Amino acid sequence: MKNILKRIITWKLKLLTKITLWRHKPEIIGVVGSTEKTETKEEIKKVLSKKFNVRANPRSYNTEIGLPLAVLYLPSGESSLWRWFKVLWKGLGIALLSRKFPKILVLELGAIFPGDMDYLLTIVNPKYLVATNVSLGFEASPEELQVRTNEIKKAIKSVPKDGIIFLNIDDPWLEEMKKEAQAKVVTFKKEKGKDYPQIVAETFAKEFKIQNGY
Amino acid sequence: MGFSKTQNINLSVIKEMELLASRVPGAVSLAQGIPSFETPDSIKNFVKRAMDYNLVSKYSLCTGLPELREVISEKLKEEGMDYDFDGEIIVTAGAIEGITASLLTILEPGNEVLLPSPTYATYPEAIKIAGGIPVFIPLNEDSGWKISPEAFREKVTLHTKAILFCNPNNPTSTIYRKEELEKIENLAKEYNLFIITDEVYKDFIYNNTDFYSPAQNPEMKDKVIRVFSFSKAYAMTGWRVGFIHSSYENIKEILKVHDAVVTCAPVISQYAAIAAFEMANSDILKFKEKFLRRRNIIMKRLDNLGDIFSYQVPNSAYFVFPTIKNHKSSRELAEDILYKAKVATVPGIAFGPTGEGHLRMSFGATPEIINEAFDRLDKYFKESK
Repeated sequence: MKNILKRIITWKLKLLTKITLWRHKPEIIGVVGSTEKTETKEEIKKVLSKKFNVRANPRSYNTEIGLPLAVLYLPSGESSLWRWFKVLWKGLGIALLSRKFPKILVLELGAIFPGDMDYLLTIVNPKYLVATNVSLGFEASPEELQVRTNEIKKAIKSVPKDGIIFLNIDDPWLEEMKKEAQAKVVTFKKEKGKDYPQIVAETFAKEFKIQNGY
Repeated sequence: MGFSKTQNINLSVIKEMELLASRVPGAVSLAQGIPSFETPDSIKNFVKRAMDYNLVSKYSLCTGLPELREVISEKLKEEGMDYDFDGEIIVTAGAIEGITASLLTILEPGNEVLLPSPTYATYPEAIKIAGGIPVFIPLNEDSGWKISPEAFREKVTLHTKAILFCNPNNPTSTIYRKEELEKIENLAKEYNLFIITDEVYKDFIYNNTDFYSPAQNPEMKDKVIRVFSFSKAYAMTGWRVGFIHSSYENIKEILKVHDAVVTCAPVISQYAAIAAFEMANSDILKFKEKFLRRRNIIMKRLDNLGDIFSYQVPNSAYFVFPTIKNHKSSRELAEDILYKAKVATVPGIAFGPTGEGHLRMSFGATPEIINEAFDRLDKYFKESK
């Protein structure tokens, strides 16, 4: 019973999110990787917020339920059916009636298990994608690495030709993935005295500015 | 063959009571400090998926899965603590592994560790394993088992290396206040001491007291080692997973011990921990509500035994620590109750010298067990008159 309800909620959230995105057509920036997604997302949001109305996932709302909630900017109904009913009701209002909507969405896409990314990409299609890292160190099992790389590859392949992919080339797995991209690839690597999220945000802002001419 | 190293180390009295109780057919237990609940389904389902995708059968990094450490780091941020997932957090095999690894790292033979009494029974043994000497600082029952920074100051010597406490405290359920803890922080700064703060019960506070952790003070990062476990908050005692966080320098050293002792926390449990922080926070609220109801039951039943026990209302965790009025040693009474009434409790002496004259009773047990235990206790004390 619980599973059926979860499926219904997931399906409805997806539908409402797709309607909302279709109506407002915001630019979507996806952030993928094993770690540092949250800080990277926050840094990009900080930089772009100076010029645009930007929305990012609150906390780490980056899964099949979390991602739609992030786009619709709604809280989770947790385990209360009544609260979920209210969430869906509000979501319906946003999907059908909302007039104002952020111009840019910066969204973490979390993929731990095979297939997670496929599902998220049926909800959002990022035009810009940032890949933070894959490698989990020498003790990570091949199965684990396989899952991580496959899911990130799917995101990279999904970026349209007029989009931009930002890859951390300090990570050998990501450097390998350059060839999977059909969109322009911009690389970044560690710089002295700066954290990765900072470097990504600066690199991103530069390219975004060029492409959007502001 | 002699075991000189372990001769002065004892199996905790809690475990002893559990062992004794296991040999008493039909005994009901208020001794075990564990929640009666099952691990939430959302956690189990997430773990099943990780198993199906063959993600749990190999070691993780010694520090733990990066995804989990990142989730932990975000959770800490929400709670006012800023710790880097890459270098300031280690996922451990439960809280006690984190505590023991920390003590093994920081103590030299003969170093003293100050700890309140009563406090969690395993701390003194962990200190002794690490070559240290536990020094008990009595809590004052009349002031609600409050911690006294002044009493700690009086016991500092040249050999003192650390202060270790559990907040909220097991078994007294005391929530140490910010003003008191800040004084302890000053003491640690003044005498260059570590503070190890074990906060496994912090999610179960029933009276709206603001909870403060010394780890929230960024100035104390190199002095504070904070410990948390998923066992109590998410009903995951069997999964053995928790974490510690501190400064880069401290974590770098503790990691060496953690590596030598366990290599890494069980990977299956690390996936469970990700799910716990990401999906099961609403379950904590449900557990809390149930504990509150159980607390009220146990208090009502204790009130009916007012000529035998007096107690302070537990405002956190899931223990009540009643004083035994006019009675012999806590151990004798606990054993007598176990054999005659078939109810397991923990004698107060298990928690240090100031615990003598008390029994610890857990309301982690179900209402049925609590009521059954007290029916038996009512009968026992009636017959003992």
